[in-house]
Amino acid sequence: MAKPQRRRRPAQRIISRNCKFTAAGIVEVDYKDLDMLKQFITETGKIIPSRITGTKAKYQRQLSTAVKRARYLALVPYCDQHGK
Amino acid sequence: MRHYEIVMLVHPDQSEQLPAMIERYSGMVTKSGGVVHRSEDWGRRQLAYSIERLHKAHYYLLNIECGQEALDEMVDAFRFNDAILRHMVLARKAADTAASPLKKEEDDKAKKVTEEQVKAVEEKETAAKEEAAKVEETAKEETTAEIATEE
Repeated sequence: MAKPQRRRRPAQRIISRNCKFTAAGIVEVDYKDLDMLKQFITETGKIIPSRITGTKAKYQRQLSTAVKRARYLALVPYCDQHGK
Repeated sequence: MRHYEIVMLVHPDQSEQLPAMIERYSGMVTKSGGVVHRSEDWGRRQLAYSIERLHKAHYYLLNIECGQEALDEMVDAFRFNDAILRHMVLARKAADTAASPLKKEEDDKAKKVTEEQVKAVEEKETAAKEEAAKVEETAKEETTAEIATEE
């Protein structure tokens, strides 16, 4: 009996295998660098998992604290439901 | 003595008092033998969500080196200051002196605005010159016309 062929779902997001922070030689992820942080959060304000972005574990940990700091200072939203 | 990074959000209506406030706080640091390494004004920024029903706040960043007592005094002062909506204190390993990305952003904005203003002024000047030239021309034409009628 032949195995039914698995149909591949089309990739919803481009999965990157390269860590941007390693490539850029960044020592510490800065919560003040909003242009950089915005690359790693969705439109709804969630942090994008490292399996999608390819970020190294060390930098993903730093990134999550950086995003949380930026959220506290209202530099970045917690979600897209604010003020509704 | 340790290194700290402080960010504070000031009520936009009270942002005129900000220089005096900063002076007072940096005075606390220097009086206790500390150093202010970086002092940045990020200006009035849009908040990502409203805090105390406000949509904008004036941000200020301070990087200082001081002891525990001076820091406690500062944080106490922040708590009792109604103009400060929110503050965040972080411990740092070393002194930060380079301009932060947000400060650069603000500076770029300010530069753009001044450039636009300069451009607008230049445009006005050229427009005024053109108009003046036109007026002169019409005046000349009028005088020639007058001469013609006289003849």
